[in-house]
Amino acid sequence: MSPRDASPYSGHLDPELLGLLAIGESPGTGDDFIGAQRHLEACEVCRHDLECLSSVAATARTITAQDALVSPPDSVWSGISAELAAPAPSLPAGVVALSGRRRTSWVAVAAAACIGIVVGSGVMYAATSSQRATVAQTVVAEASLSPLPGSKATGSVEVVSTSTGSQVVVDVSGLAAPDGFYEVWLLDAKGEKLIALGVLDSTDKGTFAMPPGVAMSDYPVVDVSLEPSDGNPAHSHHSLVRGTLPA
Amino acid sequence: MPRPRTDVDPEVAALGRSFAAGDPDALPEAYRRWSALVHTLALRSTGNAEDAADITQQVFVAAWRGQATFDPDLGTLPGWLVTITRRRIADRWEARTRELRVVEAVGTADSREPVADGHDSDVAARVLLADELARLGDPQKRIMELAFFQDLTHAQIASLLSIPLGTVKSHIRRSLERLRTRLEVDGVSA
Repeated sequence: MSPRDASPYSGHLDPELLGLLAIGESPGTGDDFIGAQRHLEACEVCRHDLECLSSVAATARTITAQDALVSPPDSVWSGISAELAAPAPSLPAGVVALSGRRRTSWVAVAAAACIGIVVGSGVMYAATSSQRATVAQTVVAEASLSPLPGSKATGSVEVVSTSTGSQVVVDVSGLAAPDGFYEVWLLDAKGEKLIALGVLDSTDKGTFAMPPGVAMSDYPVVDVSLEPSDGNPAHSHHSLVRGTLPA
Repeated sequence: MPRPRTDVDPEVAALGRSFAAGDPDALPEAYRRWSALVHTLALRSTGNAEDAADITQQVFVAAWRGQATFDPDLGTLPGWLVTITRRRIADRWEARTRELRVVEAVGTADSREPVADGHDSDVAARVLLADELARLGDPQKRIMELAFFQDLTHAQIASLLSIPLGTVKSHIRRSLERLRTRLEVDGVSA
């Protein structure tokens, strides 16, 4: 920035004078003020500066107590830690040993971040859960499942590619003991079409075959609903968690 | 017109670089500094505490997972977080509209109505300015509060706080500049 001349008659206006004008003062002697006005009429640079600063000052004056910062509840930070530590099942075997799925140390978070990149590039890993003990699979997509209003459940979903076709692996926690059963659905993005995948067992986890011919991109939304045992195959209208698989 | 960002706090710039590099200490530090900002923007825009908490979580998770896409040379970390926040807030409105369609299609019980949100930039600007004012430190903060909210002149402020006139003037100018930079760098100038 080039140094500014303090004189109102040559160069630009004194920056401090502009500051005072911006907060609505008419400082200095009459002559100085008239000189400043005259300069502003002629100088676009100073006029622009003054307009910007005046607008900042005008907005600042409208600040109310409501605009004071409100810290988020503590649960948000634990949620972030849990979410970043969550993709433990996608752990490449032998790279990092995690004792539990929800370890929240920053080492785990850093590991999870790296894992996200590894999984994103489609690297094969040997699954470690008993369910998939002997099969090498590729995670092709994953998403977290977020609670819908009135629900406290959360979870995750992975789509894994196996030699026999794609599978949708759902893991939900925080579900109450159901009066009925929990059913997993795929919805299209508009929520107009839906496919029932199956029922979650009492562990609230399940692996479901992706119906052949159904593209994940056409049905990216994974939904878990509470269904009454009434023999009606339609969606109950009572969804608990939902997540959208990335395209 | 792009202006040199001489007013960007070097600590903020350094934190931006370590965040982009994936330094595990950078996330808790960024959260400590800016979670209230993100949360307040979300709270003021959605008017719903649950949504605001949820958006705050999403923003920091998305920022950390997307750290490779943040270029500390092109913007500040808080500016980037604000951008993600605004996107998430917009997504939330879309999702609500979509949820309402899903209600009709598969009947999720959700009675909340989307609320028109025409003052997004104003709210964001006020929240950012309130935040930056709070960060000014004294006597700058006190000087600006007296000027903005008590309508005192710089001469009155100088005499009230027993600070030389010239010092008050230069604090006013520099603080205004800092507030302006905050709005420009954090990308909420309308």
